[in-house]
Amino acid sequence: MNKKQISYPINDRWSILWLLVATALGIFSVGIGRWLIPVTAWLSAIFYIRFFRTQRRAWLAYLLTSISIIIITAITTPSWMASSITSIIIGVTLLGPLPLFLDRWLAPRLPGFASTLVFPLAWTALDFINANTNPMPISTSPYALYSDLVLLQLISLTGIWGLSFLSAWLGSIVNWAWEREFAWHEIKRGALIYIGLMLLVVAYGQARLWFAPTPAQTVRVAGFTMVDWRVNQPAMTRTFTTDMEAFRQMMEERYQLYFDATIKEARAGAKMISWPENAMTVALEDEPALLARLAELAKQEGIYLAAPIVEMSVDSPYANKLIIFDPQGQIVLEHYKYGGAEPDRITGDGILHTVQTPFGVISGIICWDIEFQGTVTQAGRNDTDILFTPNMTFRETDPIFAYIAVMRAIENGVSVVHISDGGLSVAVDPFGRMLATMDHYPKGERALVAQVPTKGVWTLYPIIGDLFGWLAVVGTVALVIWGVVQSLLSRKAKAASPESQSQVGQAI
Amino acid sequence: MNGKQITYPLQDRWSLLWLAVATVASIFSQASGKWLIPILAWVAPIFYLRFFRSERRGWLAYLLVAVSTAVVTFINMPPMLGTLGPPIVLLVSLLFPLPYLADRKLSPFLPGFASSLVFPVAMTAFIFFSTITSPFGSSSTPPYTQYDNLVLLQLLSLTGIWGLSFVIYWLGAVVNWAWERNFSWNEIKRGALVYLSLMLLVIAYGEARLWFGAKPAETVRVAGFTMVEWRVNQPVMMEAFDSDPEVFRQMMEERYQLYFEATIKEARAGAKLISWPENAMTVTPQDEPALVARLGELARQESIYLAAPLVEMVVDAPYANKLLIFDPQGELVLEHYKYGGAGMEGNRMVGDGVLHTVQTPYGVISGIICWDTVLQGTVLQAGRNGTDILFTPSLTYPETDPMFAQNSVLRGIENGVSTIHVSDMGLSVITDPYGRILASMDHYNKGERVLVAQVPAKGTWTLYPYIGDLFGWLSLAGVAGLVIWGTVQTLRLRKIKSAS
Repeated sequence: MNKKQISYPINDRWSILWLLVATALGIFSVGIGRWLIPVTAWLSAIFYIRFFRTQRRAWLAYLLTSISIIIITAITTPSWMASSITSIIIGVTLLGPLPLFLDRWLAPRLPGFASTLVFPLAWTALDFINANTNPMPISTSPYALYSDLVLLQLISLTGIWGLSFLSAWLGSIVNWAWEREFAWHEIKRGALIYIGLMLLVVAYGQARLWFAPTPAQTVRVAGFTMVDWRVNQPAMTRTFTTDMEAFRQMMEERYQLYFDATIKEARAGAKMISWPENAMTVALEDEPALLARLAELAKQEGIYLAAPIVEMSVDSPYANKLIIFDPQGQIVLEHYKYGGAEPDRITGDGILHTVQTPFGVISGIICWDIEFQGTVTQAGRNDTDILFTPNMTFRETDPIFAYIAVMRAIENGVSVVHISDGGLSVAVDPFGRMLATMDHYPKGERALVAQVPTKGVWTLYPIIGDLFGWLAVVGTVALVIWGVVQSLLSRKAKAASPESQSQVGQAI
Repeated sequence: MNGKQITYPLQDRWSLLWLAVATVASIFSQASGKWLIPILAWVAPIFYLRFFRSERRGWLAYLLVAVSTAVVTFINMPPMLGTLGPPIVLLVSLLFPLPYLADRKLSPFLPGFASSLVFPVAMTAFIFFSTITSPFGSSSTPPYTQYDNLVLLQLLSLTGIWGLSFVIYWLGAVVNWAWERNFSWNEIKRGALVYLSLMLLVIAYGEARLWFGAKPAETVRVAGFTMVEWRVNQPVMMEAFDSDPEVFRQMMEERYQLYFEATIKEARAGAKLISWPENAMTVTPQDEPALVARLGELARQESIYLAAPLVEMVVDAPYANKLLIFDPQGELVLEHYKYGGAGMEGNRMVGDGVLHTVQTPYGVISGIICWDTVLQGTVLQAGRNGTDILFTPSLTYPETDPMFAQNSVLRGIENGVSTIHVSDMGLSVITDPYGRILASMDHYNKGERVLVAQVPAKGTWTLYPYIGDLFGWLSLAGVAGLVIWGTVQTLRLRKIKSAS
């Protein structure tokens, strides 16, 4: 490995240009953004690093990078998150440039190619910490890479952290090569290591898809969105507080739509039917009657029915839950939404329950729950074959939730049925392959039908959990400690150098 | 642009290693192969080219690349081609090194970076020429390897598959151009940036098309299914057909019933358009009128558009393989005879290759059959005649699954139409006019084999159907021009030499 040591800042009169390029690319690299170009998620880090390493004053680099990230955040954050925009901006301003700062500080202390590891480790650690502390971890960087099914297979091993690391590592490797003027004989070994690793990742992904077993059995699953829940939300909440009878009437109309569609799809052969999040909105006192009707519906049609219910109440926390009925009309699963920061909602315990059916083991979570990769790993351990992830979203965050659901499917080796009010509905197999997709917005019927494999596949990730995320955190902490120790040592060495020694001598 | 001139052969003691690398990469980069790694389709030409340019003797380079090609083709050859296999291997092996030879001979005549154009132009011309002369059309040609990359595939809406072919092979030439300059950034900067910018443009175009592609204003529920494996009982069926028409009738009637019942079920679940796979109805000419009447009645009774592929079995005249579409009034509104694979499927009638359309409340529909989809130059009628939804019923083999699904999806993007590809013994897919998968269903899964999707009722305008295979023809013209120019240059050099 090349041992040439470089110290920062480097001279580069184009420094500011690289920041602009990084910002421009960054705007297109946000998974939740409207204008996602996945490849930019690999490219923008290159230029951020170059800028940070070439900017003369580190504090200015930090400040300017913060501003750049604020601009990207302001452009890509959906308007419904506006209420939390202040905390988002404070968060990204303070923390966003941190991996770049650590890179500038620590990379020169590591020999040769090893110096490229600082940035991806710090980046992955930050991603991981964000995903585990942020109530809305939708900004986690690997979500921007959702369109590459081959690459995504990696997350069945490492979770999304492997992707986070690889995409960030490219940034520091290109800079490492850049600082060696891309001289092939100098950068050859480092470049080959990265290319070799990527080829391995691609080969793993391809091999996984090639050798994916043909499902021994499939089951017809249907789902649909019959109303825009949010369209009449103000009227609905108003009648709820003022005129309970009118509210009941409004809701009854919606129930009928869902009941009719369910009967139609069941008679066409669907054995499992899922509704979107909030499909049944009901007052606390009316709930028992509604549940009895749902049970009767499941029994009458001989289906498993995944029915999300919102239990509205006046002055206690409301419930957002998913209830699954079996063909005998029994409630076999009850799940309370645990994810998300919606105020005044009962928060679920985060335990994933399962139901054994003739069509495999089924389980279910709701909307925001899917963002918590660590919690969802239960599905990969508790033998779930088919996971229902009913959802309700906004046009601005369509279709990222669908693709996060796809990622959970690959991680845990389960089929996912994702029915989304206001978003893209998908049914995918345990390798993330699309079986059916349906967009909520066009006029016309909004039903999704798919033949879903009834058997999941084993994956490593649920067993090791977020090991790679933790490793990144540990690695970063170790680097920081090491960096501090090195600084102290070199200060001491400086203090012990001849001139200071003579001073010491005089003092004696 | 850098003007350094390089002559071939290059000195490179690793020459044979590059051939080995190219061969391995190539095995995994065949669109027809089971073991496709799409990125290797970009990588393999880099090393073939390096080998061809660094092997001392031109004829030996040609021979060895031919052998490598034979190995690659042999490994990836679908067994269903049977006795056609060996001649295909031979032909491909003999011809495939041609673009490499053209590169070695002609690129030194071009200055600097321009020399990198010879290879992609020659390769694209070669592929184009093979598609217009082969009954397999463009099926499984190198651009199909990028099937999984929806963003890249959007380029097809402009240039057809030829633009994609060009950028894949240009990478090979650009990397070699840089390699011969030791990848020294100062020398290769401009060339590298030209290529990178072009690729960024292609990606930006693809992304922009997917972002800004109008969300469909209206969709229609479409269903399709495969109820029997046509080939499974083929010998018994043939025997019955030859010996006992009554038994044959009985056998076929059982199949009809399966299709009729599934149709009724899906129609009652709300499907407005229903497609069966190729050969779903197999019938003798004398029984055909009665069957057609029943199909009309079925469509009328369920108020659906029914796309029913029909094979008319006959004893000693050419048989017909056609697609009939019935409207909700029970009228036969479209009749299409399969035109693709002429001469490859026994004594079959060959359609005239004209695509007909039907105006429906759910957009304009049209239909072709299986092998028809490989002839991109014919299918582009769909992009010009207002088609919104194209039916491409198919019957395939396990070894060629999912090749025909890919053909169908690529035609959909080229022509800006939704495609309904219901395939007996293969992957069925329904895509929107941008190639996005709305539903997919594998025939080999156990369980019900029904495919349902909400399909956009409106297609989108694309350039390709209007310019057709212009880029293919341009590359052919380019190669012809280069060859002439190279010859003239050679003659002139000789003259100068003899005069000196």
